Amino acid sequence: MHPKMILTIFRKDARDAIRDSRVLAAILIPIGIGLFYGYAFGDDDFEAPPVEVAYVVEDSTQLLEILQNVTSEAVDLELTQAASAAALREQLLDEEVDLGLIIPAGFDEGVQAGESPSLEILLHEEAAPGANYIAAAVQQSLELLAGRAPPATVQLDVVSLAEANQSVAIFEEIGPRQYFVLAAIMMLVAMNSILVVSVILAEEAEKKTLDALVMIASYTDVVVAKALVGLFYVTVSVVVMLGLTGLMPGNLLLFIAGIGLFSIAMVGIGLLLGGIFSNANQLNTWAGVFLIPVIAPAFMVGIPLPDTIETVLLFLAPSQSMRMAVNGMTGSAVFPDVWLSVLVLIAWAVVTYGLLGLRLSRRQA
Amino acid sequence: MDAAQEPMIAVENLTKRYGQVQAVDDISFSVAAGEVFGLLGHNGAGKTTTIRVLTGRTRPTSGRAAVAGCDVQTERDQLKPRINLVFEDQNLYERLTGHENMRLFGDLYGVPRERAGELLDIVGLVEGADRKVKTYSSGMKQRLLIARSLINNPRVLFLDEPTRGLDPSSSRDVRSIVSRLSQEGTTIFLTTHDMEEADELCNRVAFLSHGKVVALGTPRELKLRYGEPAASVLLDTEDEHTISLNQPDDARRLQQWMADGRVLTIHSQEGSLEDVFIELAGRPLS
Repeated sequence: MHPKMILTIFRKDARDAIRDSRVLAAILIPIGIGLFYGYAFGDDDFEAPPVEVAYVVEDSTQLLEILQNVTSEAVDLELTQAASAAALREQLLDEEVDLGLIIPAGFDEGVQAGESPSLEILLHEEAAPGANYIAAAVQQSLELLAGRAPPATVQLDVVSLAEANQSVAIFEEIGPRQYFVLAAIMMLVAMNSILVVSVILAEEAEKKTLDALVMIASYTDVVVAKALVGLFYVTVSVVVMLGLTGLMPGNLLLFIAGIGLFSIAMVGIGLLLGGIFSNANQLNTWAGVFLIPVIAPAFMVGIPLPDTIETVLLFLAPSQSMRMAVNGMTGSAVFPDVWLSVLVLIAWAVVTYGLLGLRLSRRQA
Repeated sequence: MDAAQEPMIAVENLTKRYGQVQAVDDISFSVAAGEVFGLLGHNGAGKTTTIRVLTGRTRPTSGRAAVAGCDVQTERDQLKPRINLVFEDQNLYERLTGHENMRLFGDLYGVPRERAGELLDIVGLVEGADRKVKTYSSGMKQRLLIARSLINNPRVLFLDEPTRGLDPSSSRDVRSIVSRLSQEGTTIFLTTHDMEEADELCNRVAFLSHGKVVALGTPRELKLRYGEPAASVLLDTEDEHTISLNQPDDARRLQQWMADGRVLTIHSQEGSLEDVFIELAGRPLS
């Protein structure tokens, strides 16, 4: 690889592609959609969903107050004290409350002394979506209580010994505005990575300018430059989208990781498609067919779905990226198992670039 | 043989096969430094494949080729900066300006930025340099292609059908540029369908048919060897006749016209490269 040549080709592509109406449309359409959703669903439209939490505490604790502060923007937390642990379980089974907390005596002192006392969280198997969020927010509250992490051993019990339903009604969690803007961002990534990158590569082969480039550069240089163009357009477009909608990720690092890993994997798919199609117009015609399976899973995240579809979504890059983006935007663990999302996205990138490497080595030979 | 005498292009028993198709079949030739060498043949004769191999873009199936002192298979990275190619297709970035096209390749080859402007001046494109290439005429695009191919001051320049589809005036411009490059010492490897062009520009030509070199020599040698000597005779009736000097019947007709005092002018004609090709391949080029 020749970094100077890659940079030169990258500069050319960035300048040339933006003058192509197909590319311009692929960049501007998702931004337009994101803007529409950003303004169509104002912040005022979002009403925090109610979550009822019962607790048992043997002496005073600041945990409940901190928990209420931490979650106040996302949910309307209603706290009621139960007479005993048994009564609390009864309330959960009768679905009178969404979540239970059993806080042992001397809990605050123990946390502050770094003794890791046990805190029991009870969750009903058909708990309201916000209950999962509260369960996740406890950890953050404990850190605030202790001033450091990890301050306590949290024991999560699901009443009836069933798995907690991880499906989150996403509208209730983050509101339609954030949801649709995030979905538009996923669409933007897909269109920039898959459509823009594949079109500029296919056009290079179709017009035979690729032959002129490889008179001095290598195929790898050309392909890496195209990948950088895709990532560059994604970065600029996402920043523009966030700037215009006024949304700021609560956990920027997680948000960047989710969007970044997804973009890298999708750019790889765009490069593969660009190598398969020899005609940019043909690619443009068929783009919808490739984009729908990429965009649809992102839109399905957080919507209650049959278990089979939920399982399939676990293995797809768009849905895992959307999960990370939701967590990153809200700054909380709306979707658990971030490590799984990262793993799935990395696996997609590895497979895609493995195939690309194989094609390139054949072409170089 | 010292380095100065080494051929700029040396091809030995070169073969290129695509599956069952034998594109180039055991060809051998060499091209001296500063020479203009023409490779002529029908479509599909193997001309473009030969160029692809010689420019290091395709590996030969067997045989060996060296260009500008570099083996085309094992020294591709060293070969690339020493050569360049005017492609058969006008493969320019049409949404970029002429100057932007030149700057791109100048940066890739790492040459000073002024070089782009100098070359645009040489090919007469200074005025259109800041226009997008899609607004150029075919002749302008071809001149830009030539300017682009000179950006790295190549020791060997390959030209694949450089005047195809151009009007006579643009073709003349291109030939003039090629002649000038040759005079400046650039080795030129040319493929063309235009026999007049080959005759005008090339020091030597090779005829390729079904992947094989079927004749190689200077245009004059080949015309003398394969062409048919003829004469154009203008009679007093203003009828013009072309007669073959090798045919006894034609010689007798000429003798009779002369005896009758009917001949106004007579001009000898040597065979053309087109005749040579028909003789070798059995059908005309175009």
